[in-house]
Amino acid sequence: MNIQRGFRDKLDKYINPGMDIEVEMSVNGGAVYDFCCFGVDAAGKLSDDRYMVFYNQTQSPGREICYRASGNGANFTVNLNRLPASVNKLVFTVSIDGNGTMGNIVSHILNIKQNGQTVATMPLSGQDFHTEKAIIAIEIYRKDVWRFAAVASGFNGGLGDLLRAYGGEEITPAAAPAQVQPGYGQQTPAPAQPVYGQQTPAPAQPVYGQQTPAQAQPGYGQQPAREEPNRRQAINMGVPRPAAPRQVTPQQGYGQQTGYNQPSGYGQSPQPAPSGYAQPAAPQRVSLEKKLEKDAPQLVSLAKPLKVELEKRNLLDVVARVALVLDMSGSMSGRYRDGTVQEIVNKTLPLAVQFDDDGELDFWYYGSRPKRMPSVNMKNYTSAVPRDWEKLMRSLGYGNTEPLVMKEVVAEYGKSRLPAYVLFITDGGVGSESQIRQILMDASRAPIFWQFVGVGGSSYGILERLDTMSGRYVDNANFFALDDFKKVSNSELYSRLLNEFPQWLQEIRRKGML
Amino acid sequence: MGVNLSKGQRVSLDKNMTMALVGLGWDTNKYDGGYDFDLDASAFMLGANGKVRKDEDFIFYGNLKSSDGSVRHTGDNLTGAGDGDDEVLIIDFTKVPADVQKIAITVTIYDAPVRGQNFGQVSNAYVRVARMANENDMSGTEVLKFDLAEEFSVETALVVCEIYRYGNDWKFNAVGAGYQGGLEALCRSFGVNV
Repeated sequence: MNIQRGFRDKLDKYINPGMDIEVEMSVNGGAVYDFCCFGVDAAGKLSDDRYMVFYNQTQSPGREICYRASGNGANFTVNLNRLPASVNKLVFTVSIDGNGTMGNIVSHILNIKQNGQTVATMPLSGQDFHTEKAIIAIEIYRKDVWRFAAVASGFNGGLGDLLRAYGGEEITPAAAPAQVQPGYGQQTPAPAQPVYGQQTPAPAQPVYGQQTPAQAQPGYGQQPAREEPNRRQAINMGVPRPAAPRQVTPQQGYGQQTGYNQPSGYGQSPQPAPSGYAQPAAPQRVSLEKKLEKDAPQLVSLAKPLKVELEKRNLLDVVARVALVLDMSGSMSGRYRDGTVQEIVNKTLPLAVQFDDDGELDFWYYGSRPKRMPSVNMKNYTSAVPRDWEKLMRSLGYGNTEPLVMKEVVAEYGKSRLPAYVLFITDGGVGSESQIRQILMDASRAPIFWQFVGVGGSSYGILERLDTMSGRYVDNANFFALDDFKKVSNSELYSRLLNEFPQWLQEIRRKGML
Repeated sequence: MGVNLSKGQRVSLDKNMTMALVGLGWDTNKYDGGYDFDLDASAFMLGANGKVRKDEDFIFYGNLKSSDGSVRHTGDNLTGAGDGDDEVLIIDFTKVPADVQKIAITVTIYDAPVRGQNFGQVSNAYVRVARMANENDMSGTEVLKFDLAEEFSVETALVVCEIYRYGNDWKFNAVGAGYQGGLEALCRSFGVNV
């Protein structure tokens, strides 16, 4: 059975909703397509982001939704019975990553299958769309019973915007109801079809069936998809949730979209917006991918996992200084030798490229003494670990005196107009407890966030007790330890590196520290 | 809150209701790249044979009031914007001519074939009947509501309900029959010359 846009019916007329259902999606086109299933609640929101299943999170917590890449598409296997009651609707989407529009696709085919049998096929083509970057393909939802609907509607924005749309809470009062652009959606009429589920005989002939197909009108569809800044500016990502959900804070107010004709689809303001209200169109940043592609192509694979984590946390618009502080004590020698340290630099650099206005990573080594190094950028990063690092290590004295380098960091950013994200790598043996505590307490009024990461060591001392450390104006530090830095997946790494940063940003904005 | 009806259900209307408001509501198109949803409510005043007595018995955005004043349409809404009823028909039972046995209320999507639209794409559509205390009581007291959201799919024209004489009283039938072919097709079937 072929289904057309607008078709909706009860699922059990076609398949057994209690058994595994396969949703097979594919696109024939010239762009990069991402397929995603959002499991949203009764309000249509992604209240639990573990139910966003896509290439970077290939299954939901109970494996009720599983993702498998397949050729030029993806297969989702869903078990509706096992879904928690809070998940009310599954929305299947396809979005373009990078250039292209849905008007340019050759086709998008979606099959609903069970036991290998296709029970419904929704064929769409580029003629069904214009300049949209995404398609809301189908929805499977509860309303008394499980039902499905062939939505087949365009959406102006990429995966991140979809996430914001489903994760979002409306920000009032800037929220404006979505306005519909007249003139779009030119479409040839579907051929007359039997009306499903119809009991009463039709009293009328389908006289409209004879009508000639509408001509696509020239001029439509040429318009950039996002001229009106308030289309969906009101949608804000709900992860992480602010303490007061509907409170408008500057960080939450970033939703303003400025032009989705940008290759990667991001419209960003160059620096934190002064208020949560609608901002006029701002210049756009070049996307992270593009920058890396151009200047550091070896790192381009980091862009996607990082981007996803940034989107989840609504950090895409954040402008911040980024610093890397690297332990160069004698016990780190193995990690310098086996390339782990260079890897840390490689994976930190995209954070700086993303957040920092000059795209440079401020850089310190420390042993018994600290040493500020030239900033790392996309041109010089491969030599951030000097060939003769052993000489440098010797000159720094083999020890690890954290307080000294921390004081340098505070001196650098203490009066900064921008927030600073400081990634501090150590392999442990951390002493100087009272000094470190004092520095963190004093610096808690400065716009500095400390992300400590333990790498392959032990005895992290006070760093392991940061969560219970009192006496600070804001909680300005986080710590986690990794046994082997190289074995952590990029998405997990970025997820952990960015775990507490957004809360801190909200907190300092709330307290007016910037 | 009145009774929520489902397709095919029939209920008697209050004998004392002299004036009723039939309200149609729907949501604007929330997706990008699509046209507005322009839903049109219409009423056909039908004789015993199920046809209009004359073309003027067809009350719609182009003919807002029946010649006897018993049925009127308060005006066209092109998008569904705003809360509450988007289009309203008002029936004054005291003025309905004796040879009108039935008033069929229909909803159609304007320009559906060209816009590629059908009822499956429209969200939160409903029809409600409210008792009006007087002719200015535009919110009325709701007596029943018929949720159209899950009932329809690829149809472009609906006979939502019929209000018909039953002895000396009026009854409401939640017909909920969907068709393709739009308003023109409905007109032909009800005997309106188009």
